[in-house]
Amino acid sequence: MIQKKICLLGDFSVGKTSLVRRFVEGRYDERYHSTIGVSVARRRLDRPAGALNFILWDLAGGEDYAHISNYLIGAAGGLIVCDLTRPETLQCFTRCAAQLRAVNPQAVLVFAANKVDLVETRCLGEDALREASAGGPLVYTSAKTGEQVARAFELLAEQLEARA
Amino acid sequence: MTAPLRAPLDSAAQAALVFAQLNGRLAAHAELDAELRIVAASASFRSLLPEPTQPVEGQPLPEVLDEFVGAEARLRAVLSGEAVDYRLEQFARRQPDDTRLYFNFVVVPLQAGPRRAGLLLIVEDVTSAARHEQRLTQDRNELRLLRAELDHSNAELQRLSRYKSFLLSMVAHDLRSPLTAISGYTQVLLDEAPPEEHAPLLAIGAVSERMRALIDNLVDLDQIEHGQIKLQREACDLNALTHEVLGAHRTVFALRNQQLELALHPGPIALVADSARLQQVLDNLLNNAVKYTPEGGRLRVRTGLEGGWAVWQLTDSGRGMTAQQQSNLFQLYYRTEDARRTKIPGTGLGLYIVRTLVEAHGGRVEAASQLGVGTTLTVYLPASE
Repeated sequence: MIQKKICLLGDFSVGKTSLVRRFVEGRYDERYHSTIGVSVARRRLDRPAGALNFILWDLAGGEDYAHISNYLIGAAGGLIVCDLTRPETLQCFTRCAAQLRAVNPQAVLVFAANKVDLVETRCLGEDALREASAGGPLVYTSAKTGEQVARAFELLAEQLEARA
Repeated sequence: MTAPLRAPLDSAAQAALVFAQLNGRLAAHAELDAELRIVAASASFRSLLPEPTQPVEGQPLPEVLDEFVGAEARLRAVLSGEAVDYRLEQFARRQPDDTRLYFNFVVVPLQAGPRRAGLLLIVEDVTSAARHEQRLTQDRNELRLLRAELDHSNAELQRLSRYKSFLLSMVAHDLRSPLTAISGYTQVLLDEAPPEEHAPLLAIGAVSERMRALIDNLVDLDQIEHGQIKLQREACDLNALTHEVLGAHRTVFALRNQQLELALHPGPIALVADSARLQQVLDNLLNNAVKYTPEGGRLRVRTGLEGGWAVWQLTDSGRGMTAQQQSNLFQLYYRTEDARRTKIPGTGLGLYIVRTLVEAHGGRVEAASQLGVGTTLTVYLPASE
């Protein structure tokens, strides 16, 4: 079976671990647990073009991204995540995309604007998100409700299949 | 724990293995051939697998450990000598009880004479140090989230405060206009009315004045909160200011049948101060004393010079205060229970503004009181030399 390494990138507490947990285990945990290093999970996708194994690398968030290039080696794609309730987390869209592309120029990208369920505290607007994602696929997700989480990973699979 | 490997280790690989062992971190190891297939592994290596019973010998490492998916090129670089080693640090493995174990993966070459014949994978258990780091990271991140929340709340409060100031200035303007008209027409009527009809007109004038003072206090409070109080300092005389302010209050004294005693310093008391603000201070103090002194009571105003301070003192024969009430007297919105119960009108702004304005002049204000006897408030301001 084809295996593809997918890195989840973004600032701390944007919901990367929760997105993986929702996608892989179908559940959500309200407690916040800071990731250090990397946590690897696997999810099989049965696609019309054939089964695909996503090896999901959930990387620690934060500004200390200089050392992660080693982790990005061999990544076929990246899901770059921001938190719609924290405007400062949008900076990671550009930075993480550049970092991943620097290591893997062929890597495919999807941008996830997470916590879309928190309607009242949302701070980020459509224009800012579109600009930061530079025309890349953008999905509004909620790890809590599950909204559009599978879609985000499907978009990665579609791009990978298109390049195959 | 350590199963014999297929081939004797060379010195570099042996050193790496021994180093991990000495650190107490060695969790498992495995030997790979030039095709990156596992040729031998320690018994503990199987505990890292999703299914510990699965066969590993002969399997390519990336198919056995997800951490090495996509790492083939880098592993080959170590094999060819382009890279010294390949390290992956702090990989979390979630356990069934939701705790996490953390591992480092280190891949070093195996030499067979002059050529690199394979690779040695050393798995280090770094759970203890990683958990410590995780707790620190967790605390740091939670603090950052709290700070972000506080910043957001502060920004929202500032926005609301600006909106409140805008509304206040608008309302103050709209309230002052009719008050000016009321005061003006009341004065016209007073000028034309016979003395026996003066009492209700004087009452209207006094109430208008109280409302104006209240509006001024609200606007001042807003300016104080925003640090916008600016003093227009000029040379002035405290005695002259006292006369001006008392003149405006004589009507109220008369209405409440309160006796005023004056004990002014024999000569001028020179100050460099904002005379309008000082008049406001004296005004607020007198308004306060008049309210809390019963009809027919006594008020005494004294001025003086004491050790470089210009002193303005007001003593009333009001109901007085307890020590605890005195300690809260200049706090914003403070009103005594007694004042609330007896429905003496007030907002708790006046004395707070007095203290703020006096302190802005470099002075201080003190209170001394005895329950059932009366209260003395003393303002000390820097006198001009």
